[in-house]
Amino acid sequence: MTNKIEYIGNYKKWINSAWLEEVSAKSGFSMPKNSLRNEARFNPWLRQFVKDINHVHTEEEYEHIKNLLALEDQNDPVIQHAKNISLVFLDPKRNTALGAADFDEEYKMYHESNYDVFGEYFTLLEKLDLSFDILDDPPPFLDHNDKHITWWFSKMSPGSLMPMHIDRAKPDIEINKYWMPWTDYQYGHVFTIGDKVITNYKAGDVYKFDYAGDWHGACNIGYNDRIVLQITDYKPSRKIKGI
Amino acid sequence: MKFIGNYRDWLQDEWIKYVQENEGIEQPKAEFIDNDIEGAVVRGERAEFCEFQQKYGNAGYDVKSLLYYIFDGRNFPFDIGIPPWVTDYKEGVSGKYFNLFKYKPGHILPIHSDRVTKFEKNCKRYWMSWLDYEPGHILIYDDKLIAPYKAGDVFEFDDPFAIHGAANIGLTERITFQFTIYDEQ
Repeated sequence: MTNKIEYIGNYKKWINSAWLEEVSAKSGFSMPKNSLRNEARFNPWLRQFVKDINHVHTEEEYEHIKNLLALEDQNDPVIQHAKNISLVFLDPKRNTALGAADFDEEYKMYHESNYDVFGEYFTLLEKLDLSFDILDDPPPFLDHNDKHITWWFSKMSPGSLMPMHIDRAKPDIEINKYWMPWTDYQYGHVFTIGDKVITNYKAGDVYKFDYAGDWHGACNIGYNDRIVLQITDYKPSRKIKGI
Repeated sequence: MKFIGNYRDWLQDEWIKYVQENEGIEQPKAEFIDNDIEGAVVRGERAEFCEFQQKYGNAGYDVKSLLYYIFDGRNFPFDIGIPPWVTDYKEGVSGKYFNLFKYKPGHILPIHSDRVTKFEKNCKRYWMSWLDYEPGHILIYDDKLIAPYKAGDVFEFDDPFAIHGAANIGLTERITFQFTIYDEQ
């Protein structure tokens, strides 16, 4: 399957200069080191445990979370997703040499390819890290009726990279993804999908992707920060009991 | 970049195997630390850095780190001779050199220009991948991604001093070869 990518226009006028200034000034949380925090954005079950980026779970907390997980419906995809990588990242004794056996297939693939799955390759910022919520003044290109919206900024300083990956998504859920650079394209700012790159964009340009799941990745081999707002909308299919 | 043709037949499997099985010279560490390239620029022993390399440190790149590996005449034990697609090499007139670049997943080469005064006259630069293209194998020339390609595909830099850079954000190694000829001055 191939991603369909559609340029939908430039919306630079919507970009709040104070928001851009705040994102530019803050460092965000490192990835993939803080993958748990990232996954929690999409997983209502995980979210209750990972609000504080600086919190290091104790052995007691780790055992408690495992026990709670064991009580949930093990066939539930939300619970399966919560189990897959979260237990490795929550484990206070996690160790890359030993932990590889516990990774899910995706993280094992990166580990065996020379990537440090607990390393710091790029950073993200989301609502928890910022003083604003873009949905207080929703972007004009976003149709969010009856939809769940998540948004985040990826911030890549020179030398940052985001390995090729396919976004985790259930193919039977309709998802739209918006990619909006908040900095002008500069030499060395690479966003690749399959064997194509998006270049020569201006801050405020918006691209809409369907969620078919082609391999994509990014790197900054240039000399200035690259900041991109990403928005995902989808219709939630279930509720977690108690949340 | 201009596609010249596929020369996989010229490429020896033992060359590829050697690069895959050995680490190479760590760059940029070797250039900046072992060879004191910054000192050489200050002393006038080599041409100035391009505008990008001058900003290397301020941009946050660590010149003492490992970003990629290289092989050349110092550590590649095979005689590659003059590749068959190079038709205007003149013995006694032309200079030549080659580099091999090995990028493991996660390795990068920041954008730069290879402008070196000594090589400027009638400089021609050729690029060849020694392995098939895989998603995440990045060669940026001007603002274009050079992809896809097969092992043995040869491209010529339209401008040997064009801005370019590379990265491996894929899952497998990437090995590339550059061969440069120029008039000796």
